[in-house]
Amino acid sequence: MSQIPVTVLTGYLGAGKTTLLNRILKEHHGGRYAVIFNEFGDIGIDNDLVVAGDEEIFEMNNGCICCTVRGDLIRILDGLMKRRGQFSSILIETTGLADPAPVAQTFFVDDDVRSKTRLDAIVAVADARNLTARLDDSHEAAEQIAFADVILLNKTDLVSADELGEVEQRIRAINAYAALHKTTRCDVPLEHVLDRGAFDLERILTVEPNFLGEDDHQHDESITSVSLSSARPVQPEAFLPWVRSVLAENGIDILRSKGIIAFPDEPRRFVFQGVHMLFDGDLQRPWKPDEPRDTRVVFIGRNLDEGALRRGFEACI
Amino acid sequence: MSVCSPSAMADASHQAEAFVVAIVWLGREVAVACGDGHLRFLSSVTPAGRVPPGARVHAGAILSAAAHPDGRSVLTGGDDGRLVRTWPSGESEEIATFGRNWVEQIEASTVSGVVACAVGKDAVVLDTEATGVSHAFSQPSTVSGVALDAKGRRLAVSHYGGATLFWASAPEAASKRLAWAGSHLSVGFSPSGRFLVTAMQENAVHGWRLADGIGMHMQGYPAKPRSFAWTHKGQWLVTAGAERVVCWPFAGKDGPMNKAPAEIGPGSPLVTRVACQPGGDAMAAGYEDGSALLLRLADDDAAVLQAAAGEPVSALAWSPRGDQPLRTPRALPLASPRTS
Repeated sequence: MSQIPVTVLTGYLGAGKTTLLNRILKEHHGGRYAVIFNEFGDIGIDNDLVVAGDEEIFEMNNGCICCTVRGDLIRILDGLMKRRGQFSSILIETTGLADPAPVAQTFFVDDDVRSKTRLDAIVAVADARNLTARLDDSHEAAEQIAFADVILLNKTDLVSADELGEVEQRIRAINAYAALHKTTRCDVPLEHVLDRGAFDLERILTVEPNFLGEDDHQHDESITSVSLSSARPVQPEAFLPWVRSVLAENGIDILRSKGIIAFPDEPRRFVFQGVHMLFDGDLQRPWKPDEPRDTRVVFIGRNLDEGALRRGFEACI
Repeated sequence: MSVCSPSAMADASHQAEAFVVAIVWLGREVAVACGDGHLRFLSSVTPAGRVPPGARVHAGAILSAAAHPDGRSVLTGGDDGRLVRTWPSGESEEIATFGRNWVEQIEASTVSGVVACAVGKDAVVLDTEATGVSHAFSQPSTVSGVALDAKGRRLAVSHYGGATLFWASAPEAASKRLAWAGSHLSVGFSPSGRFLVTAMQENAVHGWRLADGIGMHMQGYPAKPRSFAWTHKGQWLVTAGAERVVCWPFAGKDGPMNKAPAEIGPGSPLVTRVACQPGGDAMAAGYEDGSALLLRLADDDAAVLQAAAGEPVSALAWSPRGDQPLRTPRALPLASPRTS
């Protein structure tokens, strides 16, 4: 059975999640969605595949933080799988105050969920007017930005160009590697949100590391991104143990990790993604003949020691 | 004995395959509850390979099913939030509706007539005729499973952090909480009522001796056990979740404490379902590849009930007397279960 793609929608109530969800249900003709919602007001679509979740956070393995999962999702996904063939994609909405980690970790920790579904992308909808204030007064806002693969910076018509520039810089200081779309009523082509595949990894290859430059840091964000790259191939026997040890030692602080890796004499790209201490990787499509075999690794988190990460990475080349 | 795998149910009217959620025996007929919302009645005279279209009793998937205590109808719960009673004629009536909450499990006792259901954070108990809701036991987290003891009076509810015992028909009576960290997905009493066990999210089975609440943890499974059953006198707890059928000894007063389990059957693939023969010493095991075997603990003897069919066996049910062979809808020959 092929794995069903799952899109996770995060963001505060009022940011535009409902608008985006209604657009997806109305306009996306690629198949039928099952929707797991938590705090929606009005879903403007009569859909028997709309299921209420209740954000039950379950600790597994004696409370290890990285094994915190969403028990309701495991249960609901198991139930939905009995309706085989009735839907082709799943959308999960989370509440504004939700920590995205347990949702993402559910797709790493639970074998049944892993075998039947794959996390396609985490999409954060942010209100351009309020995001700056939320980043200042809550850690959830920064975590939602940090976890996102795709960010819709919405309601841009309600802020000035300067304000928009400032909020964009704040986002980029936290997460330089998410695809960022500026919208007014979530008016983004849906193909930029859906069917992104593997956490939307392409952007990490195209964004210059450190493109912000030191002068642009107006706020000292507690969550930042570190990008490491190499034009020479990376030795798998050194690299994989290194990533494992980095995540084992710093996995509480590292919210997300992702990478596209070129191994010597390997025609395919090794792609990995992680959430806290958990990570998953495999060989995917072959490198294209004209494609530079660049390796790029990204860590997003708190207290990142860029120097130590860089030294560890370079020892794998 | 009936063995069904998901691929077994070819729905003639929709040309689609339905997931088999549960198999319920009513006398000599068997009702197959499916993920497409249909309940299909088969009998030993149903032609091989022919599956009747059945009655659509739920808008979405059927999630749970049990024989009504009257023995003449089937109760089903769905992800449409409805609890429905259906007769083999295809006639059905709604017993209750719970809005957006799913009816995830139904447990019915032919001894006491009690019917309990897992619905959201409630264990719902039906009235004495099982035609409507009587009362509910609310829990702080989702009720993942319900079980009744052999007399049908004691109700056990599994949930996050353990299980809780109630008197099914006495909502005011004191409850007893049995704690163990983690998520518990299903629950069952031993036939003697001396032990309670849960299958856990964490690839383990947990048990409690009810006399003193002492816990016992049975782990080492490569997958979630999900399915477990007791041999008819309760000497063994038979579990899925490994490549062999893992059987824990419960004959003594200490249960499996400080004892190793017995393992039977071939070494692969993964066991997804187990069911013990009522009144006999045989057991049926369903596997991840769709095959099913008849096994016996005494001599580790195995007979093929059903060959591999590609998709995991999702339901297994013996006839109440443990004696009735039935062809699968897929028209594979079934071995007759041997009675002891």
